[in-house]
Formats: sequence, structure tokens, C-alpha cells
Amino acid sequence: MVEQDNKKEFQERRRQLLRLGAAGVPMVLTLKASAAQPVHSALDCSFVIPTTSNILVDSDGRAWIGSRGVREKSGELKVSDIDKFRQQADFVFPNGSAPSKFRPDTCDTQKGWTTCYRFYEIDSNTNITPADYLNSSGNWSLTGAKGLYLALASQYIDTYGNDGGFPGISCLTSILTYLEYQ
Amino acid sequence: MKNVALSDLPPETVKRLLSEGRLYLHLGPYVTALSTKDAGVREFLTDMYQDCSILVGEEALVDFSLEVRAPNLVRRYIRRQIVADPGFYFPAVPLPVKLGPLCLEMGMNLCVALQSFRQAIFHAGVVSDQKGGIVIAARSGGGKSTLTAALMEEGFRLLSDEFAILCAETSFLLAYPRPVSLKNQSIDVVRVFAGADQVSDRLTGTPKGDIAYRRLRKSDLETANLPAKAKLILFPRFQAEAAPAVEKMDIADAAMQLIASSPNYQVIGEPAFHALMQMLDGVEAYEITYGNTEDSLMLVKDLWEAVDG
Amino acid sequence: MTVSANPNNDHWLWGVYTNHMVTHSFGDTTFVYNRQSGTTHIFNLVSMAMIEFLSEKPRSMNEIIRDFPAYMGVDAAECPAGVVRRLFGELDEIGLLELVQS
Repeated sequence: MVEQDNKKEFQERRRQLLRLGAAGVPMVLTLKASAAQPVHSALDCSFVIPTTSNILVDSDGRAWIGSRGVREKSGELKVSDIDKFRQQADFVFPNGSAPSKFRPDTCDTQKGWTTCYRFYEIDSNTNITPADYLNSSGNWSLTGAKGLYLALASQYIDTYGNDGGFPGISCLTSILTYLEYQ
Repeated sequence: MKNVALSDLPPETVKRLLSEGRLYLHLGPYVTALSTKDAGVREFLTDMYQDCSILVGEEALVDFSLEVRAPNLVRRYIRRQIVADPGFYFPAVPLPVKLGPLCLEMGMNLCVALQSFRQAIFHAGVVSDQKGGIVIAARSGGGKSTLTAALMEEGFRLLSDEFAILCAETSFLLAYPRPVSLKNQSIDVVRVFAGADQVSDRLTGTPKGDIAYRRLRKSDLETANLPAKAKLILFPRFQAEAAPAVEKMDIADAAMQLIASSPNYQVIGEPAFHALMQMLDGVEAYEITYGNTEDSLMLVKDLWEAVDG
Repeated sequence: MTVSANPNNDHWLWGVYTNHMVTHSFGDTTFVYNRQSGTTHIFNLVSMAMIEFLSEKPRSMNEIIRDFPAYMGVDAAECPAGVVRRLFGELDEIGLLELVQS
């Protein structure tokens, strides 16, 4: 008898929940991390660039990211390789995207070779930890190919937000979001 | 390596070890390598942590490294400031140099909160007696520290004022006794019942108002290696003039609130889930509302008496 | 073969990734740790019933809508298709539903 009463009560509680469900109340809750957790994960997060991601930069700060190689000979890049790289790029960034220190200092083209571009190479499976590029006052200090990648990634966030399949975006977004609260 | 009490080390040795970053404070489950050149921080440390164990030797395996230092060279000399540097990047507002002790305490808290990877950490105070442990969950203005300090006077052992440290393997609470941080009005309240000599000088003008610390007790340090099984979880609510009241809480609600208070639950993952669930299987949870310390003590004592030993 | 991108497709059977779940109940409330996402979820009696229902055997969306009310011991009017669909969506969103194509 007691068992039957319990069963009836149990059934009534489920009915009540179903009525709430019909009113649109969620049946599953997801626990959010404490305020300190995103801080930790944001500052410690790192990401792996899955495929070779080379970056070509011109003197206006335009940038192309792709997996092709570009041949280099004493600081000059092969023009035909550059053309192919630009045509088959995975991502293209407009003028001014690459900070000036990553752009070429000179621009001269002769006999199929040019100094009007600079080329940065990032191998597949390269690990990037954005927090390594923050200095102690919380400002970005971007150097090297990985630093350039982060500079472009943050441009990408400004334009497209946190999606679109650009590797590492969510890690970087969490840091940028966090820094905004400082 | 051997353990000695901090007070057994000559002052010049403490000064040298601190300036070399080799003062290894062994407290509860953690060893922290402390480093500072600041005289105020050194004085606070040698006073408040005098009975604590120090590992002496060339090199120790440490859980955390913490340096309390000027934010940059200029600020070592001009309008002097101080920051806690836990060895990982963490944005912190530099404080005036006289608040060095606060920097040290906050820095040590930061280390436990963000760098414990073997224990699940929850924001709560913990006291215990032979029956088991009482977890006092933190709520802004809830009175966790005042209640913790008051229970210390009632014969309870202090495990921790700031963190419930849950061992992922055993689901027992670990002790990490530190000076109890008291804010504003609670400083005078605790001075009255614990004795003025048991409370540190007041730090004024901190980002949280006035702060003082209730001293560590030797007895809490001596029992710091004994874990406690949680029996009661309290969610205190201080309301001026409020009549004392107790309300039983669903364990599921208590679990939700504890998880939300944890700085590393998500980092530890499945072991933290298991340990928390196992801990909660044996406890009761209550929300207690009170308007003064006497009432809160009366409520806790009644609840504790009803708990099986 | 072209299949429509629609969970109602009868070729698509839905089950539960039981290996991804660790559960612990306190009364009517069940805490679910999702090993895949590292996230903790809180289920009530209805969402837990759906997990148990789909753990028995994978079912198509139409079968779920048709048979879940009886599994719950209520009639269809008390457990309308909209509720079932939303519940299904919530479970899918947190990554606990496995698609098993027949």
C-alpha cells in the first residue's frame, strides 16, 4: 500500500515536471564554472594548429594563410610561388591586418624574385599558448610567426567572431574577453 | 630535508631564505616556496606563521611558488607598491607596500585555488571535532569567517577558513590551516571572544575595507595531517536584526552551489565529481539565518548535536 | 542515397552514449557527469526517464514521440510531441545522444 502511494506520488511529480516542460522550462541544467575558472582556462589555454599554416604578408599588411610553400633565396621570394600561394590561400586578410613589424622593409622585384613580401612558416601540429605573448602589464607582445598568427586571429575575431573554423579562435576569444574585464 | 618550526630559525636565516625564494612552508597537503625582500611581509610571516613547519634543505619538491615583490623597479623606490606573483600570469592590482601581508595571503589563496590539481577545491570554511567536519559555504556577507572563528572558540578544530579541500581519492576534507581573514566589523567581534592578542594588527584601506587576521593555533597545526569526513554543510546568511532560523536544503541544491563556488572543479573533472558525490552522500545541508554571532553558534550547536557521531 | 537532414527521418535511430555518462542521484535529482565534455548536468525525473528510455534500445524520432508517453505512464496529451522534441534537443545539445543509422 505504501509502495503504491509512493508510486502515485512519484508519477505525480513527473506529471508536474511534464507540465513545466510544456511551458518551455528546460529539463536539463548545465552547471557553469565559477568566475575563477574561465580565468584559469583562458590564461592557460593553448591550441594546436592542425595543418601547415604559412603566412604571406605584403607591404600594406595584407596577409594570406595557406599550406603551400614559397621558395626563398637570400631574402627574396619566388614570384610564381607567391602567385600560387595567394590563389590557394585558406584565409585572406585585408590591408593593415599584419602589424607593421611583420611587413617587408623594402619592395623590389627582379627576374622572378621579389622582396615585396615576407613569408612566415608554421608547421602542422604547432602548439600556441597565447598567454606566452602577454607581458606582465597585460598587453600583447607579439613576435615571430606564432605572434603574427595571433595578431591575425584577433583580427579574425573582430570581423567574424568566435566561429568559422579558424584554429585557436575560442582559446584566443576567451583571453580577449577576459582582458576586457580588467 | 627536515622539518623545523619557523620560530626556530634565526631571523637572518629567514631573511636569507626568503630573499633566495627558498623558504619552504609545509602546511597541510602543500609545500609553498615563498620569496620576498619586503620587510613588512617578512615580519607578518614570522609572526603569524611562527609555529608552522618549514622544510629545511637545499631543494624541496614544492606545490606552489609565490613571490611577493614590487611590480617593477621604479615602484621599489617611488610610491612603493607590491604584488603577489604566483609564477603564472594573473592580472592583479598592485597594492601600496604597507598592504604586503594582504598580498601574501591573497597570493597563497590564489595558488591553492588555481594550482591544485589533486584536490577539488570549494570556497568554504571547514571546522571539525571527533564527530566529523562542518563545511561553512562562502556567501558574500554570509559571515563564513566570523562563524568559523567563533566555532574555533567552541572547541572545534580549524581545517581551513577559505577552502574546503576535498581529497579526490578518499572524499575526506584535508586541513590547510591559515590565519583566518576577518573583515571590517567582524574584526572587533572576534577580538572580543578570541582575545585581542589573537588578532593581528588591522590593515586599513584595502580593496575590501579593513582586514585583520585571527592567529593560527598550535593545536590546529599539530592536527593538520588528520583529514575529516564531512557531516554537515551550512550556508550561512547574516541579516542584521534577523531572528535565528534554520531551513533544510536539498543535497542537490547544496551540490550545485558548491560546484559553482569551485575554482578547479572543471579542471579536475571526473575525480572531482566522484569525490563530491561521495562526500554529499553522508551529509545534511542547512541554510541558517542569523543576526548575531551568539545566535549563529546556537543554531550550529543544535544542528551538530542532532548529527550522528 | 540522399537522406534528409532531419531527425524525424525514420532511418535514423537515436540512442544514448551511456559510456560517456557517470550518474549520481539525490532523490529525484540526478547529477550527470559527461566524460566527453567534462561538464556536469542536472537531470530531473523526466530527462532521466528519456535517458533510460533511449538506453533500452535506439529509436527513431517518430517512435520516441509515439512511445515515450506510455513509457512515462501518461497519455500523449500530457506529454505532447513538442515537449519530447525539446527534451530531445536538450539532450542532443549536451552531446549525449548517439545517432545509429539503421
